[in-house]
Amino acid sequence: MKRLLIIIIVLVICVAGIFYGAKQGDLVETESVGSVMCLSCMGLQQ
Amino acid sequence: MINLRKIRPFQRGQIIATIIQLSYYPALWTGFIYQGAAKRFCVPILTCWGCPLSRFGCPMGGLQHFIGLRQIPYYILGYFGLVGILVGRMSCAWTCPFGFMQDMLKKISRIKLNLPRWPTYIKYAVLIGVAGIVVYFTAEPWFCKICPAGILEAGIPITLADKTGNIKALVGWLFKTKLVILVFVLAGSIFIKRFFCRVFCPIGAIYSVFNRFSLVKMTVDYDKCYEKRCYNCRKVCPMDIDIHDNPSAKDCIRCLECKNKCSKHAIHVSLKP
Repeated sequence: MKRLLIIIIVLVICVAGIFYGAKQGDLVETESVGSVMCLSCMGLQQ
Repeated sequence: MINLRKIRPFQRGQIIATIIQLSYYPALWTGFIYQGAAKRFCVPILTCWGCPLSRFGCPMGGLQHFIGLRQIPYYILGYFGLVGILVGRMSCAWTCPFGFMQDMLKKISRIKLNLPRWPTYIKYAVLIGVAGIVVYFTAEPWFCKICPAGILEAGIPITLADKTGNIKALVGWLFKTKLVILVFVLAGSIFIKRFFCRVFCPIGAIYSVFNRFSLVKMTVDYDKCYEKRCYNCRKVCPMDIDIHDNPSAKDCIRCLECKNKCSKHAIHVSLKP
């Protein structure tokens, strides 16, 4: 019962976090940063 | 000739997941990475979104990006929590291409080195230190800069495919450092089961916290396994843990190999809270 309660609480918080983040523009930000070839992230910089 | 029957169920999952994740084939002739709405959605494991074939986002790259901007990463944290509370570290077994590669490397050598317990805590330091504190103060994704999956999936292929010489000219100390880390991880994986996953992976560190509470849970029927132990579960475990001692072990990736190989059918996977 205690475990079920933890699962439900965490699920609700996480789903709320995802939707709130999406509303704040996190998805668009994630798309834009993922669409750029970050050379330094690949180790490509002098 | 590869015997498909010898490929374990979770490895089939890894192969399918890899094909789906790395499915932007136009990059092979255009040379450009995928830019589209699918990049909004992260896969639950470590994957370089700079990889030309990658269609989805890397949650660790996203997390560092938001930390670097000094913003609370609601979406990424929610995503990690959702995956973690539902399946724990299961995605490490069933969807991670880098984990699959380590499983294959371990088959090269029969020599098996046992890892003491303390190095398995390094991944928490990597998560908090390299992917957290350092990123916050420098605004640079430092875990990406040392990520062995990144150089394997993106750095090396892009450098090799470069025909203009512009990218090859950028190969410097960082690339070489990253290459040394990759060789170290690959060499370690030959002798130590899932060396990177157990010691360094920050995503594994996040999910491991949820293993105790997650919906998917491993259970051991000790009534069936009370006499002489066969230790089959320990032998087949890709993470080298003893599920008999702790079914909710932090490093259990729920590959279900122990369940499938248990001679007494004493190991079960349960969805019951």
